[in-house]
Amino acid sequence: MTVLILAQDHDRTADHVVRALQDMEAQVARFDLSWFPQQLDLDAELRDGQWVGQLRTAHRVVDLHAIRSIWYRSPATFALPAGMSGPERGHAHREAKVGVGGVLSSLPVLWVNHPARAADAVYKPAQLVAAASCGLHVPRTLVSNCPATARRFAAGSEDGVVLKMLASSTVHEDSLRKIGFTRRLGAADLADLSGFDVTCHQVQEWVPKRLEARVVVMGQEVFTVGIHAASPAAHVDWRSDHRSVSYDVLDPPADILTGVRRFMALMGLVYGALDFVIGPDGTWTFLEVNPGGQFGWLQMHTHLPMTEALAGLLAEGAT
Amino acid sequence: MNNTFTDDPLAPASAQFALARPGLAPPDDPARPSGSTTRPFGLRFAHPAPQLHIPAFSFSHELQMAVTGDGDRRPVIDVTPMMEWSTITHSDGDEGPSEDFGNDFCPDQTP
Repeated sequence: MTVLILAQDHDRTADHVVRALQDMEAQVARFDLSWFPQQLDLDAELRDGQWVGQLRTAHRVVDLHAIRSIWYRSPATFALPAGMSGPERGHAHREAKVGVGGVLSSLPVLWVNHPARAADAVYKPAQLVAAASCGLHVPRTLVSNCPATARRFAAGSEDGVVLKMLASSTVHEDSLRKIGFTRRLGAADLADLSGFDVTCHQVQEWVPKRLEARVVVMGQEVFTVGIHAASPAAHVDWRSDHRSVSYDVLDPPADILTGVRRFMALMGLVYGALDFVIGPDGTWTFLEVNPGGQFGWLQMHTHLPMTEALAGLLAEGAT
Repeated sequence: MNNTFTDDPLAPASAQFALARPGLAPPDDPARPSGSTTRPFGLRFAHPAPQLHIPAFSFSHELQMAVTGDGDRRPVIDVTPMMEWSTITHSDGDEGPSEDFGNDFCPDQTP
């Protein structure tokens, strides 16, 4: 049985997981979907209601029925032959996606994570409702395009509010990659909300924090890392100032652990990186889950065996 | 709620098998910010992010991992073992596939 890893060619985390699997003497095949169709072939034939066939490169052949698990680690899109027209390219992309994606998605194997479940998890408003239904504490949150509503929401938030992107915090413009971290909205910001009305914005109450925690779930394994910010910027958003951040291993309260497991089951996720704020009174407040969240740097700082746990999960092939 | 995702997925069909932008370099989009009334408020505070440095590499099909591109072909993770964010192609800060969904190369077709 084979562990199939779908990842880009340069992915250090994937490299480490491949090595861990090899150390376990597990069969592993790593492909990037940018190899399709020029370096990777797919043959899939429907027999008795199951897809039977192969994924095949010049270096490796994987029988579909021999796949035990699939790690869906952000593979790159198909690289089509040069010379196609725009319409031809669009057609070929769609056919490849529905063909390759459809066959692979229907394989009855352990997915980490299943692409459709990861796609659903992108919708953060849905995450918050799901988390609340699982007993996790969530912050007061507004999703709106109405400036007046935002001001009223802010006025009702004792500790102020923050602006957080709903989908992507990056934008490519000016030939630059720009990023928008979580920002506390001050009086001047709230006085001029130009552009608030052109799309949805997520405004959340500021949750007083002693530290933050990232809970990394890999099947039944749960790793929890405390994130301590030593600068004002990192205190608002630790991603904005990594150099001032330190880490330690935490043991989450039992009710948080229970809520996390229920949440993962509800979302249909096997892997997730969940972010929490831990308040001065010890309250854990769920912020979001990232179904493709990174964990390598946390292992580097804490030595928690996350890579090994993920490799073990994939090799086992069941949760 | 319990059956929302499997019975009625939120994500459109094209996003349910999300694929990332090819290559590690960000797209070179020269578009300029628009005016204050049309630029989303959420982008007002966006600022340039550090450029990613990706050392020369190639993919070893034998080892199934990246190797140095200097002729030695040593696994990159042996040369620089720090497990840092060196392959960031994502968003949500510096991680996660959400950007990939936004840049899906096969968007749903409108009727």
